[in-house]
Amino acid sequence: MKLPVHLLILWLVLFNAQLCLANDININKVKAMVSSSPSLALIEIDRLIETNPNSHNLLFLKAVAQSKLGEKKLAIKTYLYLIEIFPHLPEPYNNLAVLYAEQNKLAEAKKILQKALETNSSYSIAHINLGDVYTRMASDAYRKAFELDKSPVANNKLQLINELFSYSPNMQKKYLAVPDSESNNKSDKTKLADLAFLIESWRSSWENKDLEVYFSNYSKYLKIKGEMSYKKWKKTRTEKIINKKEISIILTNIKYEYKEGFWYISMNQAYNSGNYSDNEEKTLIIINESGSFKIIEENIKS
Amino acid sequence: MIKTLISILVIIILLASNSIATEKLSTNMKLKETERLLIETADRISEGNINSALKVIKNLIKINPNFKLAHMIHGDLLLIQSHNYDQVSAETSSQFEKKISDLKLELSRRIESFNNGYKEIIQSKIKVLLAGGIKNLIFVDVKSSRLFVFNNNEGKLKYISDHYVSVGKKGYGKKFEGDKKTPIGTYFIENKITTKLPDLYGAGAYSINFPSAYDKLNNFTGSGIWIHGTPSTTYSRPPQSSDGCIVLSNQDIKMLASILNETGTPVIISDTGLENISMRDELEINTVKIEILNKIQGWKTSWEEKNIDNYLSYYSEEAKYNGDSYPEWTTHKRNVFKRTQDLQIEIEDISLFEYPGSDQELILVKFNQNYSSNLLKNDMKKQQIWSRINSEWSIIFEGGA
Repeated sequence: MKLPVHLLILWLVLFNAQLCLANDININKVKAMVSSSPSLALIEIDRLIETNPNSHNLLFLKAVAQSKLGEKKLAIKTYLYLIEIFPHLPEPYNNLAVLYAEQNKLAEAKKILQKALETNSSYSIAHINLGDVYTRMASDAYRKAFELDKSPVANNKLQLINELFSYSPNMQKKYLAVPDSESNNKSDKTKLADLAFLIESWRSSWENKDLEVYFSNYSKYLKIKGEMSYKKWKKTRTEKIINKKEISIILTNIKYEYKEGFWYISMNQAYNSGNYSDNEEKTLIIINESGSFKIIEENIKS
Repeated sequence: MIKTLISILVIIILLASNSIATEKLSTNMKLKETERLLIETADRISEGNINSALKVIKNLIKINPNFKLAHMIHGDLLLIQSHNYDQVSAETSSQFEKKISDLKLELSRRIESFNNGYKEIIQSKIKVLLAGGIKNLIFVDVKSSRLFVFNNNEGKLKYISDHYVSVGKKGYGKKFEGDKKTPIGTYFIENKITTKLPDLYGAGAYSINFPSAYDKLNNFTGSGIWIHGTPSTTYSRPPQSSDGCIVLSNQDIKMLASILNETGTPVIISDTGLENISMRDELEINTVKIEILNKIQGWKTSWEEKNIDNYLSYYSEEAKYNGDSYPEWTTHKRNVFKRTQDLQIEIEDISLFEYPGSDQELILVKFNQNYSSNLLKNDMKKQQIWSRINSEWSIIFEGGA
């Protein structure tokens, strides 16, 4: 079902407002419950859904809980329902694809991830997962080519999203605040500290020409401008850094912002290498890659 | 998997070196579906269109589900899509080095033979003259892993089809039992193997006459050199993978069944190389044929005239005759000639075949001989091998066929 655009936006505004008023506390509580006790959470979610049958947050958490309990078939059903009524949300597609991939339905997983990217082309986790699906398909092909019993490549674990972060990108800024849980509680302070540590590690390793540490701050899925491969990028960076006599980098006005599953860290970067200096407004986009923060994109404001 | 990815580069390089590939697609499209789709995949890759390359290779896999080479290229293309190939490379490439290099060799052999365009050229460059009874000729070029089928078109060869083949693990030039090599020489199909065979031999097996009488003269040993298919688990085998047999895909062996089923179909297994063959001078080839035919005529006349010295001059002194030395054999012949009267000899259905694998230029001659005298009456199929020694043609081997 596709609503006219103006209707959809209006409806979301109303819907979101109602959700915030009525269920603000409950949603966060449910989120916590899903991770601590998914079976109890499921009961609570079903109860809440009775009064909010079309809450995307509740439906999403329901699917996550079902998935955690091993009820994969039910989880798939819930995601399919979510996709039907909220076709613009990329996360259900992603998680559905992960479940398909778990069942070795790689062609289906691929299709669904491509749909996720149609709804939001810069959705990095879907990109990463799609890459992993391709790797597994390739592995399958090599198994046939080399007459093996097992796939030659260890099965990549695809990333599941456990929280619903966004609407489609342009709506998100206007109508959806950063989830409360991401900025207020204690664990988020640790997160900020980790992020600050990453930035400092990145800055100081660059300054000290400690390349091993410098590159360790980047995700292997780093989005590189132009057609350069990761290898090539690494080589050019290495040459650029190594050739400098002395490097000084001063970062000021560092701001942390969380959206769509990524941290956007903007800063003013004063660079000086003796005979050259510049001043840039830079944004580092950070992803949580299996527990540690990595730079996935580096943008300069021109 | 970087090493595997090079397999794709192989195609691109081959394509770049031969831009007329696509033009050739129109000829023999049906016969060469496999090679055509491989080239098309390469074309799409070189255009940078990985998605449509994937479509083509999937189509090829659909046609030949057990085609390992296609699976490897499919894997490469998927891996390009995944952006993970550095990681996968470390895990797999060293582990499957041999298999990867085998498949890469198969790929380059298949594509080369598709691109080089020798097939039309060599039909007029193979040194043969076919008697009417021979319907087809099979020519195997072991160096390019290719088997060519020609039709006997009034004594001249007419190209029918060509096919990828695998030969012995240790290559070619078979001398001994168990040396895992494919023989080089001119052979003939004996018969279809009708006993129930293991899956390894695929959709049919046909024996050839190795070791031939001439091979035995050279003390070559071995047995069971067949032309056969592939096991059901695979579409094709690497270029050098058999124990000496010539291996075709099951699809091809089925397609050629009627030709292979014909006892006496000549099979020239050559290590001369297609390029060398293509550079031969047709005038010289015809001269050789005429020289040999004249020699046979002269040999026959000397026999009819019982001119023993002239007759013996056609034979090489180095040749061996059923274990006898040249002097022993000539003494015997002189005795027989003396006692023979009312001699009549007819020779018909002469075929000439080049005989590869020797340092000397050899021509295998086959004909029907009707002999009648006061001592003996017999019709036989005879074969001789003529060798050009010091620019003169001499018989170095003679026997029943």
